[in-house]
Amino acid sequence: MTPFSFHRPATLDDAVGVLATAGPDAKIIAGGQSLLLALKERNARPNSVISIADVPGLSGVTETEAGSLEIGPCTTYAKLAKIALPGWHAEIPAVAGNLADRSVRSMGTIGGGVCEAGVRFDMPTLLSGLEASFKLTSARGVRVLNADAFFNASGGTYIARDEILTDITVPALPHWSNVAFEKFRFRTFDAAIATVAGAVLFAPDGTVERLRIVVGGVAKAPVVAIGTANSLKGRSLGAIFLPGVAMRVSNEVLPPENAVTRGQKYQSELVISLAARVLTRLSTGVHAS
Amino acid sequence: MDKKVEPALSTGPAKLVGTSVPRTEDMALLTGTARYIDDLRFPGMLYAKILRSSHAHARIKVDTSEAYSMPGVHGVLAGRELVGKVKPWGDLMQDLLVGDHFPFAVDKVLFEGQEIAAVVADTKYQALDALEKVKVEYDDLPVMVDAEAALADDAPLIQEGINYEFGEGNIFDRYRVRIGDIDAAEAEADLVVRQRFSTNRQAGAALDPHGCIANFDSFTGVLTLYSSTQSIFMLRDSIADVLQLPRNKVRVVAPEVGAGFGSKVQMFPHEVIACILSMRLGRPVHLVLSRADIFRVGTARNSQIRHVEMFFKKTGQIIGYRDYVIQNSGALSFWGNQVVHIGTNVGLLPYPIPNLHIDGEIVHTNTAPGGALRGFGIPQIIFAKEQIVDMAAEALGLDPLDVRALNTVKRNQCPIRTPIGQVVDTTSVDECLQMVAAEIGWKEKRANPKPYEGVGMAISMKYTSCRHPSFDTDLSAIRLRLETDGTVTIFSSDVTHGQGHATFLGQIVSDVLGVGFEKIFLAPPDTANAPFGLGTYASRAAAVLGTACRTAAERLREKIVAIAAHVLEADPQDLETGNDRVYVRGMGDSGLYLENLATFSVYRTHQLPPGFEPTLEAVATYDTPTDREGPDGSGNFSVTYAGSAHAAHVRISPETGQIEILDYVMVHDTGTVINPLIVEGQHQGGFLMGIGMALGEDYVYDKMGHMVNATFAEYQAPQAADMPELNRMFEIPAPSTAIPGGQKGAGESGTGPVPAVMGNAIANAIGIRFTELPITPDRILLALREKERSGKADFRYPDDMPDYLGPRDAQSWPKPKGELELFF
Amino acid sequence: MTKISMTINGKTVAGDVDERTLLIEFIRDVGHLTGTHAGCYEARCGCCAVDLNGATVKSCNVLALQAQDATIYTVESLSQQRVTPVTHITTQTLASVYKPLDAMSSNKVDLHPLQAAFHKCHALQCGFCTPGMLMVLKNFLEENPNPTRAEVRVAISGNLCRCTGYQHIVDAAMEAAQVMRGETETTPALETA
Repeated sequence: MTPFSFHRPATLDDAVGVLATAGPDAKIIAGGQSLLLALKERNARPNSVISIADVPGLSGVTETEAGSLEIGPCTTYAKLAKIALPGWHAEIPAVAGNLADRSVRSMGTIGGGVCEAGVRFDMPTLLSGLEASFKLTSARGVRVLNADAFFNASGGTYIARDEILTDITVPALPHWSNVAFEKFRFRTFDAAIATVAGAVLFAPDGTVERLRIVVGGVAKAPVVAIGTANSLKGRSLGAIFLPGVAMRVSNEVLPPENAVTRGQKYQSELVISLAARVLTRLSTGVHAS
Repeated sequence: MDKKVEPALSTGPAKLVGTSVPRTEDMALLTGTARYIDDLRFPGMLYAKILRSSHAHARIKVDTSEAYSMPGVHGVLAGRELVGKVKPWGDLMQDLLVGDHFPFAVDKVLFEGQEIAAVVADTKYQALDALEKVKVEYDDLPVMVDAEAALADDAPLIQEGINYEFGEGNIFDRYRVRIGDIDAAEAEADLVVRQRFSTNRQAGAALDPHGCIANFDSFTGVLTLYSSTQSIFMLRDSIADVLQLPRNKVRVVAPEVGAGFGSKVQMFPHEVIACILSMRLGRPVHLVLSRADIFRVGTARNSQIRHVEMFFKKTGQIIGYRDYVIQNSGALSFWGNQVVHIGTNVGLLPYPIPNLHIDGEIVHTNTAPGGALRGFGIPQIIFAKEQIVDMAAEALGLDPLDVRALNTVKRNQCPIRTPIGQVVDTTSVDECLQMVAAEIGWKEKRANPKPYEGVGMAISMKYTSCRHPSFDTDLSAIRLRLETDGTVTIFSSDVTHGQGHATFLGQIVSDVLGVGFEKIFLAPPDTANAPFGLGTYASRAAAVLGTACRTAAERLREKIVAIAAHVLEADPQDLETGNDRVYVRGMGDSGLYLENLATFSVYRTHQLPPGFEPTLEAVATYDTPTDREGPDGSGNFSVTYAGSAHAAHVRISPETGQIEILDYVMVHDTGTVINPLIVEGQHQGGFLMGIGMALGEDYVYDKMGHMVNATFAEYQAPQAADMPELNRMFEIPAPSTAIPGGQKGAGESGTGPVPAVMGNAIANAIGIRFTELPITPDRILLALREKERSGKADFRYPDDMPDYLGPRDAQSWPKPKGELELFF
Repeated sequence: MTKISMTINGKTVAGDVDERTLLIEFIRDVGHLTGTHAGCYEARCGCCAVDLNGATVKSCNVLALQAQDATIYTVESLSQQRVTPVTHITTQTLASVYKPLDAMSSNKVDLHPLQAAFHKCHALQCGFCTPGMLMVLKNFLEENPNPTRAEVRVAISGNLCRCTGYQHIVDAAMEAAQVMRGETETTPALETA
């Protein structure tokens, strides 16, 4: 670690103000599980570290009148994992309780994970898959980005240096009929080698009205398999050979000509298996328990 | 060993050896009061940190001038200023001391992580801040990560200006075995199985970091080094030699040591650096390495490429073994080269193969130095040999179980001298083999195969201690003192770091002296008061140190009984010891307390028998009756051999390549077991190292020689949830006759068979023979897909992959670059 | 430099430290409690696990500043008995006269059920990972008193052990869970220690 000053603003306004005056070399800390690793390696060398862990209103999950979920960025994975949510919203605590490890989940926050946008993290893929939106606050005001605008395809996010992530909004239950997330890693608490999130909205006749499939781990940001998903519009998932679709997902997000190393070749095979699981779960409506 | 033995009462008539006495060591470890190296604090202590090379092979220019003026800095050190002042060191190879080690790289770095400069400051952060001001210019040289690349004729030289006795270029040592007539064996053989195998590098990754605190007293000239080490005397003598200090003024003390697995047996540059800094400043200097540093410099298991050819008769009888081994020992020589010598010799067991022809070339690369690691070369050769046994059985239409049973050394043949010269005093490995097959359900499972499921087995034997790889010695020593209140202190220099020395030595002493177990204390390892011993490694503690301990206890008992006989006016023959006293046989409630006898020995010396030398101490050493390696590679390196037979039932996921171990059975011959629960723990720990090696652990380098997984986030050390239940463990003891107490080494016999077991089980499950370690899910899945595409029934990975460049047949089989001259 | 204060094992610990000080460094160097070990400083090995406001965290990956005013418990809190138990008065003739245990203001060994089970099951070899294992398991078993072996394994998968193969650790956790549920008595583990 290189020397820094530490700030503990009491309110969001203070936090935004401190960040504005601290300049471009400041870092926001919530749980610090990613930041501390970078600090210790001297890969991050901030002059100021601003803690928002105690800022009121930035943690916890609330349901809005419209039925969408507002997740405070400082909500730890451990707390998130213990929240009982209905319908496909249950996929969020299920994923939160099965990443990193027990001790890291008590400090690590969903906002921290999203802002770090680690390629092998679970939350960016899941939140992108279910079309969450991200509220950014700065002295200049507030803006809301959807997942595709939030994650930078060349790595990281589009958060400006003076902005703080202040809210993650997950759409209301009717937005999707079903959501599924799958991942694979060698050891129980390794970061994932590949992640696949899927979300589907069925038309009243049971055919696909909208389908979104997002794959993580294969590029510097979650990749949306737009072509494959769109091609299934109006079709019935039960009547399609899903492993074939899974192979098209894999080919779309990681074209064979780009899968050069052993790791990439493996990922392309793995994405087929994971996407097939996701599609099967979407078609059968099995939620994570 | 299935059942846990309840703790026995400490002073009852029953013997403690053979019972699972809970460990003496545990209290301090459980409550947080144990002090490991990083827990020690001394008044005025300074903190040192080391700047390490970020390049794998380069000429360097170092400028430390700016670091001096940083806040809190007391000293800066780099290589050039030590040239001519500090003696280079290295392995004693054959009879030549190789001077390829130095505290810092001077002109050239040989591997990523090599020491370049050090800073000592008031705090760790100040030392790290100042290190950033050390300027290093790198002029890059070609990097050789693979041993085969380093063998190329035009490969640049890694170690410059070092002369090796049996090597040239990047080959720094050779190995040779010539036993019997291999050409005759080849002519006679009904089947030749020829296969190239390559094994991985693995870290000990002991969780307690390598580190030390050096404390030089400038008035007395005594240098005290506290270090997380497995061997205090070898460290003391190395430090004293390098700094040319009197050995009686160098004192090495081991605090609590949080495991080693072989990675802490040698002296490391950081230990020398801390000593130099402390001697310069006259203050204690703390230097503990980071995890990333430990991966890069803490020594790794040596990877081997083995070109094995095995010769079989139709019956399955093994009549010959030919091998050309290329071993990657990284950039420095230290014990690592001996891995191929000792590992190959012992790893040929349990088959007494009559015709052997082995060449080995031990090669420098621009990678982490190779050293000792649990198993010491044996898992590597077993991985090759035991898979070939399965391949041969299949080709001959035989059951691999029967081929093993036919060839293995048997209990009723013992003692036996094998063609290569091993003397197997006793074994039950043949019985272990049959039991493991029965327990895993070998016949039924093979007769009723399920898709993606399979069973595999392997057998191996492991040395119990070993003639030291560099010296000609295999000794341990114990001094015992009966204190004046009847308690006993054990002094030993063999560092306990998880093996439970205090407990099992206490069990031996308690049995021999009749002293209560709770009255026995093992003094911390300290060269200032311990008798000279080599250290704790090579599965030697129970057998070698235990034998020294038993002898010392018997000597002490003789003295105690002599005093008692004098005082009681009894015949020593009529006296017994037990219940903390010496008494006339049959009168256990009377007699003299040990505390009284001990008091006589120092405070009431007129009570002693005439001519009795006061005080009650006894020293004993034990040096095993073993051989050095002969010029033809023959020799018996170990006093006795532990046996093991393992078998696994696995299932492979065709979706992800993940391996699930459904059942794992271990059957061991560990001779007479002193403490069954400790031995069970040793086997389970040995398995962990083996399964890590088999399925995940590896040093992954990029082309520039950067180790890309030098962190526990990436390095695949097994986690609890990924380990199978290890409760199917059995012992079939064949007590050693060479060791007076019957013990055999426990530490490493659980490691040897594991990679081969997994290779055989996976081959049985999916018809893919893995000849490369580790066998990871990505390799499995890609091999499965390639096998489906190719339509082959039998598939070898990586040999049958499209991009494989290695030899596939006898014509393309590589030959050693040079052969050792035969000089006998 | 900055002033930091927190409660460690029931006592207030305060110090004026570098902002960069990690929680583990504060516990060890300011609190003088070295039972919490650093095996990697990468939040991976778990040897540094402590309880922070009721949840286990890896103290090598938390700034001391993040734990300002927090309540911390370390391995040293599990057993208040900090004196090596004297189970045997060695001077036999005085055994009925003196009571050395009373002089140490303690008359029994007071191990946490987990510590007792670890001792009995040989769930530790070198002991370096043990404090972290104990802290994680204590928190886990308090939250989940009746786990399966598989659940125990997942709970400690953020804690590496290189010695034991984990088998005896899982054995010990299952045994301690039974004691913590009140189904069996604490093992009188120290008779031979």
